[in-house]
Amino acid sequence: MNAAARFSEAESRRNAPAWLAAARKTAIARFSELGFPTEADEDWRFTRVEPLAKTAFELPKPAATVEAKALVPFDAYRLVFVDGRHAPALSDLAGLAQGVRVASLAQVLKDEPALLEPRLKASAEPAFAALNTAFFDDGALVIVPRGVTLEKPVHLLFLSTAAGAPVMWHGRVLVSVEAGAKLTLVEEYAGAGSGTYFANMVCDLDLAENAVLEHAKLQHDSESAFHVASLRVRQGRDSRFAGHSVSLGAALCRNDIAVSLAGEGADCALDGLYHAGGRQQVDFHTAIDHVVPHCGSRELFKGVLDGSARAVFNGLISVQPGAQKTSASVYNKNLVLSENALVNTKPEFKISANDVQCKHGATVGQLSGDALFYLRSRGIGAVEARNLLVYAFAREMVEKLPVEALREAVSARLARSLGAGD
Amino acid sequence: MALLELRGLSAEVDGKPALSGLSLSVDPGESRPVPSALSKVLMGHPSCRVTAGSIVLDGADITVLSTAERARRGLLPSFPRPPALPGVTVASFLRAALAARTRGLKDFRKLLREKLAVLKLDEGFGSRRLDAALSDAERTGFEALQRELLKPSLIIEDGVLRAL
Repeated sequence: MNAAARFSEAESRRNAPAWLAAARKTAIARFSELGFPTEADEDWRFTRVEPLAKTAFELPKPAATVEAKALVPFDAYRLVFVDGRHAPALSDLAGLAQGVRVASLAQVLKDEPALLEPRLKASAEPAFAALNTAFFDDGALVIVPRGVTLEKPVHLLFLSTAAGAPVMWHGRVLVSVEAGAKLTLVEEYAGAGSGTYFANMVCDLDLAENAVLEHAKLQHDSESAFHVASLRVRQGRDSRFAGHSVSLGAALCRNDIAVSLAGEGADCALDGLYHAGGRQQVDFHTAIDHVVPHCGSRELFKGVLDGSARAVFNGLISVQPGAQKTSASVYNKNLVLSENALVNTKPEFKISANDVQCKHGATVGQLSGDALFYLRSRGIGAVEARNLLVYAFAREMVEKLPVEALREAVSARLARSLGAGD
Repeated sequence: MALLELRGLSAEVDGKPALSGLSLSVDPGESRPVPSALSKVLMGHPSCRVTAGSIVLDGADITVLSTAERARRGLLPSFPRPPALPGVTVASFLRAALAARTRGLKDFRKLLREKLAVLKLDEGFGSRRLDAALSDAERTGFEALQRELLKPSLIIEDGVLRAL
């Protein structure tokens, strides 16, 4: 069954408001027109999506049960999703302050769809985002009202249980941090089964003036998963956004991160860490758009590649006409541990203003033989010496993560995947 | 018994003859000048190849052992200009070196604090990153710390062997 036929079938079961049905229809038409990207698309030149495009995915059956003990525990307001569907029994929103919304999108669609209309405006989206608009049934809505500081992080955990036939699910996350409000948001993706699945996410973050949002995304999907995600951030005046992306799992992981600095004085710090081995593909396309003057952005992504892994980093900084006094930097540093691993990196600027400070750089390096020998001469075995240097390279990014439990979880996962020596 | 014994040792460094039929023995407590190429050969540096003879430490032939195994058996070469180890701290370096010698290493932090106190080194020295060159004083302190923790039996300096 092709996407259009599956869409008709899904729509026949839905009872969506007219505006949403219209937006979905536009989106599926857009996807049908675009199709899956190919290497002819400039944005997809180095990432092969054929394995994804050729797989016949089903929409998931009613969620399998997952035991609560499988979850990484830390003190948070937590929404858990199993195969894209909200799992109330695993979620915990106890003690959430009055006026703060953390809710399953399916529930909001049922009870207060009008709340979503202004947040789901149809636009000419790229293929995967359009596919998401056509198919998403659940996800999360988070609203932190004006002036409120949420003392605990919000944790959105997406678990996939695929064990048999390949399944796909599409999730949407909508977050509003209103004027002067503060939020820490952790988005986590994990695979509990061994089957193939395709998780297609769109996450929209909106920061009003003076809002502060720290966002961390941890992707450790199972090794045969396809993970495609679009993160779209809009920043108002004097808002502060710190985004962290950690990508460890999945056969193919593609992240598109777009930040619009739309209010003067806004500041954005974007960090990322990826580790890929075997035949994994990891691809980060980031675009930070300096629309107005007096904004700052700093971006640093680090990658560790082993086996026959492929990594793509494309970091675009645009400075629009009139966006004077922009300060921006984008760096990508890669450590390549194997002859067969490959990195395509391209930090780039498009600058249409003249009073700006912009810096960029990219490195692709190997471990130093002298450094390895020095460590081995202290009794440290060859594998341990390598891991020590790799972990030291990655640690800077781990230490920037906002929640202690998250830093520990990433350290442990990194140690485990390094130990495997793939 | 001699701590170290070289028996007719010949070796190449970078494919060129560097040692030819060298025989000597070093007893505990003794210091002895040696050809500078010997440091690398003793540690099994990847650029070296032993073509004849053997290296015996504490009665055991270590000629073909890995670099790490030689170090665990008591050799400690000093590096006048150690290479940078980006992101690695003094503490993580020493922890890894000790973990390679001690199964189920425990209370490393406490041990490190004790040794820092014994050597009158700053408490924060453990967090010093080895990204860039250490100052002379730092390097001397770091080497003393390594000797305290790793308890080598033979220190290999450029051109000198010192058996402890």
